[in-house]
Amino acid sequence: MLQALRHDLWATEKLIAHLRTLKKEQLDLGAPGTYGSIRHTLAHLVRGDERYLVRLGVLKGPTLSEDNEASLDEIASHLARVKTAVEGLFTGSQFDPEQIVLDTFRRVPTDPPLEIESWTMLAQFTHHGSDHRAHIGTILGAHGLPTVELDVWAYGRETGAIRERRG
Amino acid sequence: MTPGPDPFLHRQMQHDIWATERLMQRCRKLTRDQLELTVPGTFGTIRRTLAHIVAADERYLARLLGVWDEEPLREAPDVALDTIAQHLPHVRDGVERLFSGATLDPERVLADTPLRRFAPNSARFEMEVWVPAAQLINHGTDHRTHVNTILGANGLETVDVQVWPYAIELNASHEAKP
Repeated sequence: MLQALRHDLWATEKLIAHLRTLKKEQLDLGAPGTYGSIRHTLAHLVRGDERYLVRLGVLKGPTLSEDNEASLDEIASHLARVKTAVEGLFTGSQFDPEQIVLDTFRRVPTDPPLEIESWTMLAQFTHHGSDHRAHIGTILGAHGLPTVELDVWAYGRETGAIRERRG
Repeated sequence: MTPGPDPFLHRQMQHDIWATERLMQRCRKLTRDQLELTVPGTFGTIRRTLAHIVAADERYLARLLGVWDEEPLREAPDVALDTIAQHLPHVRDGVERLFSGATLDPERVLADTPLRRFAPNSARFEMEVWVPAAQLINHGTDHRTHVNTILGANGLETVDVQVWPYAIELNASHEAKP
């Protein structure tokens, strides 16, 4: 579980590093069928990460504002908090995927809170990240801009978990 | 299905299959021409992307299980949706077999794939168990997003395949009783 989450964070960090090579106006590009501009999608992704961890009770403090103004530096600083919180999930007592968490973030504030099994939050965490990174990859590709390899193969090669056997 | 050892990974893989099935159901309502739609920046046509998801699932599971008796799905550009759908039960069975025994050791090294018999001259990689397991989840999500992007860009109805609706279906997420 931890490796899947670490890959997710690595992929978002690598994507941010790649996006730092773009011009300011290129961050405002979008493409039909995706979530929004590159900048807006990235802010939404990291804000989502923060909200999942807040629900799990391992992150506190203000979450990233989801607008078209967030700078890459601001997004990256929130991602660093996410990374620390994820590692914290797996230190000390064992994470229990079946444990119920109470979710009070309702679109209609008067709706009763949701009772959610913890695995749902972390599975959604990685799903949400992959989903929106794919959107950004599509926007880059659609505008003829270079994309970046973010799959688990690339992460596995970088961490030495995949090795080519010769002979 | 009740999760066995490694409940988180098991749930993730079960969600992955559910999401692909749900997307397949949606795509069965498309015309033949609509299945050939694509948009720049995605993997390819809807049909080809669906086949790629399921064929890759088989490859990842074969590697994880160390045995795969079925003929794997061929990623031909004209593959029928029925053919792709026939392979989904193999993926589902593979996932359940993977979690039917002892807990998976994520750091155990897999020396090769049993599918080498179909590509004896391809490069040989050894990898830790967590790599193909996490890749199965990431890869499916990535390409289902491509299909939804193609649908949305062409003014066609998309399908919500997030973990939230899956959890509601399982009753793993529900409103608290007052």
